[in-house]
Amino acid sequence: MVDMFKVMATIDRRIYFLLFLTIMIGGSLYPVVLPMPITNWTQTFYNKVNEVQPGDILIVHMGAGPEVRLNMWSAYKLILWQFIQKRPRIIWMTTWPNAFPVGEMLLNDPLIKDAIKMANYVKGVNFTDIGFVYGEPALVNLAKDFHGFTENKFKGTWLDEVKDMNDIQYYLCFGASGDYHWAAKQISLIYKTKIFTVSDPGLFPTHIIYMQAGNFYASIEGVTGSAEYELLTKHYGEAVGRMGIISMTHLAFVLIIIIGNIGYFGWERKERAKPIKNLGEKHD
Amino acid sequence: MIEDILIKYIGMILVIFLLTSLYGKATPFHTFAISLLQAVAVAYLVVYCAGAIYNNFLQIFQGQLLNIIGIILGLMLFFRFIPGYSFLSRIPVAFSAGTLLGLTLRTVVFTDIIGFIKASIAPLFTPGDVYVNFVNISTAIFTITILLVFIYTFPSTTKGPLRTIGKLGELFFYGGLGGMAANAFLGYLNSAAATLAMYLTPMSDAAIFIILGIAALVIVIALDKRGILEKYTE
Repeated sequence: MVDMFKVMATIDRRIYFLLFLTIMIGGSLYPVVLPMPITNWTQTFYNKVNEVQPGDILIVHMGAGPEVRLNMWSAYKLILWQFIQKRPRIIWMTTWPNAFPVGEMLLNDPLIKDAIKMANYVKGVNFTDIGFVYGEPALVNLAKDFHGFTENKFKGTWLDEVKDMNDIQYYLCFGASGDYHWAAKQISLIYKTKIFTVSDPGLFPTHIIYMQAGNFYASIEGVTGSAEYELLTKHYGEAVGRMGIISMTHLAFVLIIIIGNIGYFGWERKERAKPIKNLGEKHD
Repeated sequence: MIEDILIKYIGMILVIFLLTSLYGKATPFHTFAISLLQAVAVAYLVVYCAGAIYNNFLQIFQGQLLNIIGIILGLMLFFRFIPGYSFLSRIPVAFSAGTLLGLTLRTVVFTDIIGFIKASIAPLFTPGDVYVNFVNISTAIFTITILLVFIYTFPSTTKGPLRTIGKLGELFFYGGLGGMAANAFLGYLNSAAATLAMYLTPMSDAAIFIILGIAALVIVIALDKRGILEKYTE
């Protein structure tokens, strides 16, 4: 008789990958729309962006690499769009070399371009790109002495009123994996700037902790958040369409975890406890 | 316009190349795609950083004398290639690591230790919010039991309810690690799903993708049958 537990524990991993591939291809060809509630985190983030007043100063920290173009793009685009609707004055900075093309792509997106035009943003008047802020020590110096760090290049412009990070009301971290940590450590604790972060799914639990500890003002998980933001801002796009595939893939993944665990406790665990023949010892 | 189309189809071909690793063995297509990514990334960084270094060098003549120290420390990294003096390359690494550690340590205790403790202290019951109650109660249970793991599980002399609680905490601890791994893997799956969705719409692109995918698979199988798959992979 076939030992089902053994079958479950020893399924070829390639079958799992093939299953994922089939779901992804099938879901792309025949999209499935599943109900999607707006999570509390995203709703809070959205509401807090709405608190921004015209003339407030916002730093946009661009640290993300091109991979965000895949599944977090709607969140990036629509969050920036929502901020622009509130007409804050914007300081743009980039923290990684590979984030420059991403920032350029974001600012050249038709939606953002239109929003910038409608909100009358003019370079040097209410929008200034300060360029490359190379790493955590540089961010510390920028926060401490804005003009010292930028070598007084922006003296005589609207940035004269910015002495240090306390003069900046909001900080939007479009950061790569570790950048949000810089903001938590070097800004939230020392200055009164309110920090918004967009996280990739793997790191979102840490963002929640920072949020609950009061280090971050609001955080959003980028992948689900993209779809939720499309719903909230009524700019329906690629993210809502992809949520069906992502949900189906996650469902398959949960099923695989259940199968693997049943196989482990039903067969593999006992097998591992058996002594190896001729040695009389347990093996790992 | 032509540039966008080119980028899309080159991307599609490279994705198919990467997916050939699902065959179960390393393939020349997969190796090519990975090497190309590394080469492009390194080339981009070298070009960008060379420009940044050059600008910093020019600033020395405008009075930014501190840049001299930075450039000297940067050049010291090249001692790594000189036998007998490679130990000198550790100085700039130690300098930057020490500086960063100093900057981090002044706040990390408050953000990552006290802040995390603060975040885990929350009211157990909030009327009308089942989800928040569930999160807060489970946070309290997990925190207490996992803390007890390190106190009561590992010493073999501990017996009774304390050991049971510790064991429970151990299970939560492993559950948490498993959850983090699953979360990370789901992140990769999200990227994979988004990538495929991008290349499989519209239907004409899906047909191209599937035909190219089958062609790549047939070539990989043929190479494997002839025993030359590994030869072209390295």
